[in-house]
Amino acid sequence: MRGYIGSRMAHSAISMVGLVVLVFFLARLTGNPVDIYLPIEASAEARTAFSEAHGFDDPLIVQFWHFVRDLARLDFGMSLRQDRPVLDLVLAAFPTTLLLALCAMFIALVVAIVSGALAAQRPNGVLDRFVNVISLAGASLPNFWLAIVAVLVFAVGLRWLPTSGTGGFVHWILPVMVLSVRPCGLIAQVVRGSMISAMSSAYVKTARAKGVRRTTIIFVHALRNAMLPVITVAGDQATGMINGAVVVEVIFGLPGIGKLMIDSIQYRDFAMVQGGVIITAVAIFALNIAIDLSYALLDPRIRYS
Amino acid sequence: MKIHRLIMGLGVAGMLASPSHAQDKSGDITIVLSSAVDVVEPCHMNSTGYIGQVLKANVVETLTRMDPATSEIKPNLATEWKQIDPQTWQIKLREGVKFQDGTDFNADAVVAALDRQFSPELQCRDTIRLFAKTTIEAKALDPHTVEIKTSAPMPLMPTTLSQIGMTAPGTSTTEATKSPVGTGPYTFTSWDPASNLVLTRFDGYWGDKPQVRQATYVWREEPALRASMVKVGEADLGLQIAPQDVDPQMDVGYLNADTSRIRIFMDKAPLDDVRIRKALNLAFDRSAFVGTIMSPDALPASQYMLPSVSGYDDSLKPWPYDPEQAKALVEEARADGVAVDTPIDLFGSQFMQANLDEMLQTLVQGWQEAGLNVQIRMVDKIQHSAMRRKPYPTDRGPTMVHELHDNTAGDAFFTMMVYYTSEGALSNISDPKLDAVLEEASVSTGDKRRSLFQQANRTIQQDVVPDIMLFHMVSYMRIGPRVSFKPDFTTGGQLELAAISLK
Repeated sequence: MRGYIGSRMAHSAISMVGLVVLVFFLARLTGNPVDIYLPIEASAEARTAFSEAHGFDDPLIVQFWHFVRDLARLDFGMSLRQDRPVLDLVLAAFPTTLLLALCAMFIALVVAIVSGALAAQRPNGVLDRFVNVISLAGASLPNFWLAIVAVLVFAVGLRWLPTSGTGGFVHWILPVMVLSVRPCGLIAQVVRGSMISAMSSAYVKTARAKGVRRTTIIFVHALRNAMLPVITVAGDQATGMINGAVVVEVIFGLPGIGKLMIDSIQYRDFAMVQGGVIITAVAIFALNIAIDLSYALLDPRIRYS
Repeated sequence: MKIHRLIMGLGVAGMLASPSHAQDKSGDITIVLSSAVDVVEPCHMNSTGYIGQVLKANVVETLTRMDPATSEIKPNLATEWKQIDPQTWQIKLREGVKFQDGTDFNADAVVAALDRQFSPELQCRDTIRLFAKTTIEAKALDPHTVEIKTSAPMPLMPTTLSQIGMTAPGTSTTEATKSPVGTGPYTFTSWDPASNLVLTRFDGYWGDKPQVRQATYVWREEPALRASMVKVGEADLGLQIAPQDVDPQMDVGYLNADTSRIRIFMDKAPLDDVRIRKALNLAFDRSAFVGTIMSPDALPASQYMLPSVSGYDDSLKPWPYDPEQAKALVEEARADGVAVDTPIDLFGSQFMQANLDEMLQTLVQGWQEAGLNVQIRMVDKIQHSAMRRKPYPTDRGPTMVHELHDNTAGDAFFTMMVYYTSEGALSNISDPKLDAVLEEASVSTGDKRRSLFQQANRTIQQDVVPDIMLFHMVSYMRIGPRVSFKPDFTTGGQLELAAISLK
């Protein structure tokens, strides 16, 4: 197991190096930030002074060397836009995204597993068709549209919830619900398919013949065996949720990493983009390793070497 | 039972944490902006709308101020001013004024604030925009008189001073401040760059006590959210409401100082022929855009500035819609050997205005019917800026660029010297006669100055035709039931809390 984790971490480190190089050079292909930070009528002298002050006039390879050297000391630099340390900004924003993603994923998993498992009991029955339609719709609806409709219905129409922002438990309800809809729809589809297959297997028939209770058969025997593909899709959705969170954070005004990254890209805040991407990538690599390890917990036949 | 308790617990938590609606009687209001306030440096406040909306005239004041109704310059922290010679001004300061940190506002403080504005470490955007290469030297003549010497004549010094914030002497001159202190009616109380900013009334303010006690600024990028927040009472003012969300009962439209145009690079055929440039102006119906692609309150423009700007010429009217004349001009140029079929690149960027794609496509259709071949190139903000300023890219064909410009200073100088002189950083014109008129206008005062700028405007729009004037743009603000406020063309860069009254 330790060897496997070490090997995965080594692979992740190689990917990380590639990512760091790509992010650094691709960001700089988008142009010199001087065109955003100074008034358009700024003189050539003012533009040069700005570039010199921020090191944009150095050859690209020199800029890259400075970046790698600082990164080795875990110094992600200063945000060009906010004039604050990048690490502070990312670490301040990360908990919001993490909480949003965790809550949304938890709700998505619970709802998807229960509804998918129940729908699979009578394929093409009323419940199955209902779950199928709703989950397909959920998986297809864009977050952007869903968020606006949710605000108009629950905040403006019914006045049950605040429109946006932070402040308390109620402020999290709409963003979490909106973010959970898509993964919930996708996972419910996978759970249903996987459960239909599991319910027709020999061990379920044996359990039935032995008189085991129906709920025990569904949620203990069949569901555990049906969970491997679900974990794969859920893992994929969990990493994708960081992307989905961008839209939700922007619309609901939540100060998370997604909103921070969007603003940084728009304003060519290179240090901020680099720091945000690297720290997010570390989180995603860790999540992927955790997902791989969870396979062994669910299926003892899986061994890592 | 446990689940029941959990649900009850969550319900109670939800009630306790329910949104803190701004509707109470304490004079506290909430304003929802369209941009995050992640920088609060006063020396950028006239060049960056959201900084100005929060700070200008609220936390940080200027020596003079412009009356939006007349564009006249009025006293503020300065009570009077006079020009000693073309490069020297004397400013008399208001007495009995204190900064919010308790320090006295006097001549030394003004000198410190002006010196800070030119600090090389700060790279103040306002200084770059207002002074270009001109430098100043300020000194205190007595505790309440300042002398300002400039390296070049600045007849618009009073106007310029209406755009420079007076920060407290203790403000850092090497780093952008994160807690600005000025003489305004509100103190900078708290700021979380990720979510909100709070200003609280300053009891030691020298002027009238404003009604609003505390203002909380929040920001949402989605216009529908801003509109909804005011509608349900979470905010009292919502800025930049999208035309499709406008509710006539709650929303107020106002000219926002932006004027849109398409700039013509006149260096390559067929755009080097004035007949083609006139045809481009005649080939579409500006009024057909109003209320369809543009908001119903947008005004077709005849000049690159608002009518309230000194130097605007009332006699100039927007180009009429005359497709037959446009076709005739193109055919006449073709007959004279002008390469009218050469593809013309029209550059635009979505960040400039809503529905830009639709607007440009409609324009292109009109030009095609006139016999011209224009193709749209949508680019991002940086590429767009690179197309707009000198040095212009050389590897291009016939080119046009869509752009917006705002002149909130109230004088034509701030438009015409930049966009229409040979030396202008954003100009495509090189006309010695026009340069001479504009140079003379720039150093003149009063009626002569206004008349010379009007003359230049006529020459530009009737003879040179370097652009396709489009619209004076409109913004909408949603105003909640608790407050009264009248936005104007300065609101995009200044939202004076003292001008908000509580009902």
